[in-house]
Amino acid sequence: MFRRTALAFALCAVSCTGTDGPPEESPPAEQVLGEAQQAVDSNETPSEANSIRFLEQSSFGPRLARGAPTPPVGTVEHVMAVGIPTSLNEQFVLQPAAQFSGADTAPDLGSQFFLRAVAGEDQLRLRVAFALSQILVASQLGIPESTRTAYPDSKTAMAGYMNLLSTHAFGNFRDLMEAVTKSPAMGRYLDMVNNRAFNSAGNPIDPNENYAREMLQLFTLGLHKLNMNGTVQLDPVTGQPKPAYTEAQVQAFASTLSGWTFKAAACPAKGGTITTPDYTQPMMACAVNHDKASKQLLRNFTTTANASPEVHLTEALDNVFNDPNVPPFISKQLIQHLVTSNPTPAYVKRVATVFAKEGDRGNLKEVVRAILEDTEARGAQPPLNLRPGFGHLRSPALFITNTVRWLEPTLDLSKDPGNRLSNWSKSQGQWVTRSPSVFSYYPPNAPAPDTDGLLGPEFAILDTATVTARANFVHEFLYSNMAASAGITVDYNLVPSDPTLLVDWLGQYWLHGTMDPALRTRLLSALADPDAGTVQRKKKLALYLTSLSPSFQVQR
Amino acid sequence: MTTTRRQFLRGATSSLGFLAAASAMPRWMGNAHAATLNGYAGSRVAVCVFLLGGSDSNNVLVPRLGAQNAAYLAARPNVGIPLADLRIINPTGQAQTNAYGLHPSLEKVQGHFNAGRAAFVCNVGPLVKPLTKADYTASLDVPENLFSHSDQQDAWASALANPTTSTVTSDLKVTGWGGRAADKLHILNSSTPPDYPEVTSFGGKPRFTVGAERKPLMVASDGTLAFRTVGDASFDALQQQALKDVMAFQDSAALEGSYAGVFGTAQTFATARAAARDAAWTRIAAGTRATIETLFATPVGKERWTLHIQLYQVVRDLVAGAIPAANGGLGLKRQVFSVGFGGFDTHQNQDVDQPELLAQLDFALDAFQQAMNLLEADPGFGANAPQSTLFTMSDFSRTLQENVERGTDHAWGGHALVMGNRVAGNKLYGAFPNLDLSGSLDGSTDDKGRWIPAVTVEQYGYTLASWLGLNTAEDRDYVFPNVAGYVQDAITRGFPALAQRHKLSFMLAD
Repeated sequence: MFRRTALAFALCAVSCTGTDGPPEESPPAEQVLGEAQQAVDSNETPSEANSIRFLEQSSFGPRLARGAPTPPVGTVEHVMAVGIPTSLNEQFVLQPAAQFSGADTAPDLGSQFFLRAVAGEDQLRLRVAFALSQILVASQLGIPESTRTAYPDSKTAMAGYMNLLSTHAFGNFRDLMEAVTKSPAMGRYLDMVNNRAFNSAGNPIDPNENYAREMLQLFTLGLHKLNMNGTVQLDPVTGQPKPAYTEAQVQAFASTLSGWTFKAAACPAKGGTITTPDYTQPMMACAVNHDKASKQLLRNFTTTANASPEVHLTEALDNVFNDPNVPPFISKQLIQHLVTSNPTPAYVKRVATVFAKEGDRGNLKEVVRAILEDTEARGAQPPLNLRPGFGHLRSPALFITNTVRWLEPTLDLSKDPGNRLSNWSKSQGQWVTRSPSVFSYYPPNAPAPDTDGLLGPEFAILDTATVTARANFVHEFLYSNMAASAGITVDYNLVPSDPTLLVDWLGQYWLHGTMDPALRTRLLSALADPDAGTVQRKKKLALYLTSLSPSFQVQR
Repeated sequence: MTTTRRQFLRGATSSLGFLAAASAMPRWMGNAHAATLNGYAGSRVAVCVFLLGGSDSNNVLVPRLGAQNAAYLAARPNVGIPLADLRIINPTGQAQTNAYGLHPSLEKVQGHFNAGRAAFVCNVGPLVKPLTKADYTASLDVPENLFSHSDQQDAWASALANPTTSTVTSDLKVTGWGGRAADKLHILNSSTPPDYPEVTSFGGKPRFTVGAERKPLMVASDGTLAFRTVGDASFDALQQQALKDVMAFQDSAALEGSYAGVFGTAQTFATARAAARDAAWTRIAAGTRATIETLFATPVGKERWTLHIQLYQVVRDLVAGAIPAANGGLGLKRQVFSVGFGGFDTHQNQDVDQPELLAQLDFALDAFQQAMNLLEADPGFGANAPQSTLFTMSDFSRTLQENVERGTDHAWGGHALVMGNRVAGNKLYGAFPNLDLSGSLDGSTDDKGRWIPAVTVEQYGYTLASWLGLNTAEDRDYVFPNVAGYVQDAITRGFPALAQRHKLSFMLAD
């Protein structure tokens, strides 16, 4: 029952044919990037380094076509051949090869995620969905198992949720908000489900504020009023940040969003609940448990009196969606996940302006395009004046997938390779689909240590244990049989043997042409050491050192 | 600024790096010499056991007599412990004898309690100010996000129940009181290598371990903090040295420097820790070592238990800490450890699950205390023999009123356990709540039995931190920013004497 998937090409063969047939254009010969080439670097004709950087930002790791007559989608050579805008358009239409499955028999969701991340073709869709999953957070750890369903509750719920994010990754943010709000996974996770305005005696009670609060604080607005460029608005009198919403508004949203429950044949009696979860369908509205009263929401908007839960939900989400905080709040976080932890205010503003475009507000496809085509993201290297603070620490998942994809292993799906990758990510502090809390794995405003104020969200989960786990992941992947026994087989013949060629190959590709000469010298001296051993071991030594180098750990 | 700050930090570990980027100098700078070794110049360690999920302490410590027991059983027809099954204790200072009993799973804890090595702090929980029922109803200074797991875990771990409204600086708002205590206690440790972290964590709540300046050594729950090797010594040495050198190449990129800093911390202290653990362990009597290994051996059929595995690692690390540097140890005077395990969120089937949870707790705590009894007498430590105080924390206790699924729901104040040879044991501290759910409900938020705490986390924590050597008002107010205001308010508004003290009396005087 072995199904062997050649990572480089097998999945591509299906849809590459459908997406494009770019005219044969021989990619530039391998060369160290020169000044002249940088000068002609553009989104339409990107240099090799620019193309690699684009794939670092828009996928789970660049790959090489290795002389394939038609470089597959997602390879460096393909991006160079068709350019950034076309590459984006290709990615926007790609669909997942398979939906996330909550079936008992399916691998763990973390495994499914990593398999799709290292081998799937819809790279940008999953990358954006992964970013969204860390902004609009639900977690398998917060969805209890019940004895009333015929399926695993948390797995089914989160599979549905991940599919929802994937579906809406290039859609409209308003639609995404509605899908998330009605999601049974989110409903259970943040108590939107069975959130009633009346107790069992029929008397009014205060609905649970959990979803209302997190939806405002984490999913849409943030704590403070923002300018379009993402900076915080300060009260001119007190000098304090202006709050984005009030406690009274949280309560008003909680009431306005009350009355929803698991999909069932009929609504419960007033004050009652539906106790049998249905994690396969959106929640349903039950007017009997809804607070019909008119409430004042953001910006003095007042909801319709005596309206249904559906009408009130629409009013509430429209009200939030149209708040001026949403474009900068969401845009900045997406930039942080894809490109850099510390975007300039001007970059945030450019992207937020696309988000806020009249008549096309919340178009995530255009937002993603704006992020990835921006001058701050593009080029063979970051803009010179921004380099000292540019980039972001690769999260555990991105570190793992980038390393694995550069090595182009063959995957034996019968041995559940994704689960091995997921466990490595877990050991590094990122257990995919199992965020420890609604605040995700790390907060967007966490500072980077010893930088005098730079943000470094991913550093919030970098400690002595997890940094050691990063090193041990690489070590186990290279030197032990853990990868092979999980069906992950690397052909080290694909890696150059000659030490100089090997180090230059790593510099050209893994570090997109930016290897510090001092790093190069140190790698070569390590490889020249009599204790370095066989050719095979030298390759692994170079891979170990390069993948753990600061230059690779920080995506620049 | 960067240079000055780095010099000041002197290589302070930055393992939980998100806390180290304060934009201003810490305000305690200049009075860092305030912490003292107090009454003991040897090694002292505090061990935090975090019971994740909200431990139902209403079933841990149960009144056996009269109306209190009747109220208890009335609220818990299914999950309550029958009178005959309770393990009787007879704490000193009670009006009636044998007034309380422990959960039947707590056999060994009962023994330590009776021997004077353990005590309970009754109805302790997060507070900002002392609260009456009327205050609670009027939402005056109520802790933020009560009954929420993550928020209340943070409230316990940070000793800051009002993170949004508190005026402490934002760099302190992401720290825990264990870590902040380490900021102050650091001056007492002169380790080899320098600046070895005061706090070592094998589990529990990471937040507890993080200081503004001092960062914890985070270690896997099996005690391993080591870089894998291939087993070829010369190749491994080559690779590790090259890796260390590679960290210096940072492309003038700030975030690369941040990463390299954390990596260097791990490399430096992982090696030192491993060497000290091995060297120090051999300084302990062979018989003691063998007995300790036996004490912590996993019981048959209990392969899923983790707490004893973590506490065994605490023993190994505290031995490494307490053995003088001249004998291969780290020579530390003060350490804090963090361990924990989950599963306490017993909304359903508590009658089945809680006995097993408490059995795990009982086994692990007993193994640890017995190990400490042996170690405190071991001559290998010289004048630096270790003293330990173990203490529990949990998200919250649970409703006295059981729910319809043989479980209990999120509540607030609960009973914490402290254990060690410096604990003034066989006694209850704090104030045991009135369990009557039909009466005035003055001590409960509602008729489900959610106790408004009589003791704040700050009083509980400061008692422990004070035992470690934190002893000036400035230090106290740095580690426990709300406690001064709490006490002042209690005095102003005439709360019971219990609320008018910065710390409790459950530690023996030095």
